[in-house]
Amino acid sequence: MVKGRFGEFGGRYVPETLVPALQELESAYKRLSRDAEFKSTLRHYNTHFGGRPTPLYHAQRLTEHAGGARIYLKREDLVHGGAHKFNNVMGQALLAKMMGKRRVIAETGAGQHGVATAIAGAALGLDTEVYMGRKDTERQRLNLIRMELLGAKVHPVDSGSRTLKDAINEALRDWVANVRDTYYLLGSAVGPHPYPTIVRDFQSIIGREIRSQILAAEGRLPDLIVACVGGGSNAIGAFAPFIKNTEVGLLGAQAGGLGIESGRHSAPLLAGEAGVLHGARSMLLQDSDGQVLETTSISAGLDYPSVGPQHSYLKAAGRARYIAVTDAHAMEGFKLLSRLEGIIPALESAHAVYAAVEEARKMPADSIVVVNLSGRGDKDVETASAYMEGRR
Amino acid sequence: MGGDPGQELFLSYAREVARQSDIVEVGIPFSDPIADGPSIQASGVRSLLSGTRVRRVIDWCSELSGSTPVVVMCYYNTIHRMGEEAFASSLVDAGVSGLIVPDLPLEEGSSLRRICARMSVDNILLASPSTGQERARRIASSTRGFLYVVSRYGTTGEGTSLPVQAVELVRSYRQISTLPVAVGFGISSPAHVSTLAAAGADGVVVGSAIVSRIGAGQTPGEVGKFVASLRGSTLRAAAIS
Ligand SMILES: Cc1ncc(COP(=O)(O)O)c(C=O)c1O
Repeated sequence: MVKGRFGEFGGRYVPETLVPALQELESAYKRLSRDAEFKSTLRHYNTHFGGRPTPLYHAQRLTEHAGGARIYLKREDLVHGGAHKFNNVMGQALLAKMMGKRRVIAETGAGQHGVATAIAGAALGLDTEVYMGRKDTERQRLNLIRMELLGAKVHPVDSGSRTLKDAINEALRDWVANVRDTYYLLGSAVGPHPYPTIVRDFQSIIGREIRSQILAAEGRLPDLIVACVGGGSNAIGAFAPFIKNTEVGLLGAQAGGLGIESGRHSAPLLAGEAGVLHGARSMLLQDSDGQVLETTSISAGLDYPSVGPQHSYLKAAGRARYIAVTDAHAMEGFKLLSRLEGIIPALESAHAVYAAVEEARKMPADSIVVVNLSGRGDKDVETASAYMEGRR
Repeated sequence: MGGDPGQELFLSYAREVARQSDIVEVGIPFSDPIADGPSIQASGVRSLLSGTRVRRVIDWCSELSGSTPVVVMCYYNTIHRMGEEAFASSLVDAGVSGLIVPDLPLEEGSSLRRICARMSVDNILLASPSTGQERARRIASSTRGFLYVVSRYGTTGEGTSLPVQAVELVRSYRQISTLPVAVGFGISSPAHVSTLAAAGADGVVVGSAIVSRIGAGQTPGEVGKFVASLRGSTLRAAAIS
């Protein structure tokens, strides 16, 4: 496979100014990811600061409700900051620090990546600035406040659809201007090479833990792993260590918004075509001129028109399956998990919960489904209650 | 920018700019222009809101290319969507001389370069202040038409003063390039132009300073006068519209 490519997907489609910076990042990552001290420092932060390993929890009442496969929850909602985002951020923030960068910038959709970056920035003494679409600063206000409390500077973005895509555009523009002293801490498995690889590697701790935990609990690998897919970082982290175990099914839940037929969704893996956005070739929601389409999702973290290139590859290769879960169904998953298990999931993760229940229902009782519960739902309680009251 | 400030008005601005320049650069608007600052972003938004389609911009190019060489500037997804081969041949049909793709670096652009070379469209490459020496040489030997030197770190946009490194960049690229060297990003005053010309630049690329005047409601005549004022006597000036 060509470097930085996943089959036909991936690559490095960026302005010339960024190419040397990406090459520098690539070689720094290559060196440090094999460095014993780097690895032990990261392990230290993951354990004592992040709270890893996270539990793999048998969701008994959800299992009974579905009436099929045994459902386990990988509790990434319990990681410091409230989402899986920490895993990638801590790795990259240490990388930034060791590369001698003082300033870190990030984009954020749901605000979870911004919060995680602000957390790491505070802990490591890095200046942190976060770009966030104006629409997302409103619907994920709690996270905006958290970032500011943690000492990060948040720049609301008013261009385009004022969501995650536009926050990435603005972060890339900042990076082009300040590339000499600034580290761009990208929050999902998207963007130009080497980001999709770096983010996958740091998130793969999820899948590695699932493997040892499920072997301890059940003595075998799961039949299916389910995760929500926005940019695709929590999903690729859960999937990657199992790609070679073809007996383990991999299922990604994209945001179906108001339904694929309505055209108002965020599901490029179901309704997109190959295109180039934010430095990578991947599946993309675009019109016949290649203009990127506006997306719709109840969850800010999944509201993105493209997807990490490795997911496009896994789909093309037939190794993973992807489905769309609508806003309404995600809300069902949200309520189910809250009431049956006492866990309020992030709206992003609620897409995976719904998909997992539907799949488990069709599977025999001795089969095993693992859902990656990517984050907790505190940030979403206002959106959810407004939705339930019919205010949106 | 093709289609700005509107479908009917664009050509009258483009003709004025073309009259005052040696090359006219026509931008195809893209929804997510990451290499562009506020002025060109706003221009793209105005154009897309007025309903601009890619085919239409290429048709406009064919109306301009009879009197002035035309270079097209667009993001890679526009080309990818149509297919490299089909896109390049549509440029040929429109009499377009060159193509600039700001998000397609050396490594990703080899097939497009091959296709352009076969069709005699100059695929113009960009070099930047961050480009190292070895890479600069490879870019200089792979570009066609001219070498586009990005004057500074950052996106497009008007600057009040010339970036400090610009003069040094021009001198060093002048030495390694056998083709004309044109400087762009932030060029917006006659003083910038004469400084760069003195350093050995063969041309300048002016974008934001033109489209922001169009956005501010200046007439085609006024914009044309501005472009004329930028032209140093020794310089071959390229301009974006
Ligand atoms: C809790 C949670 N899950 C999932 C996502 C989606 O990102 P990804 O697909 O990269 O995991 C986000 C993004 O903000 C998130 O906050």
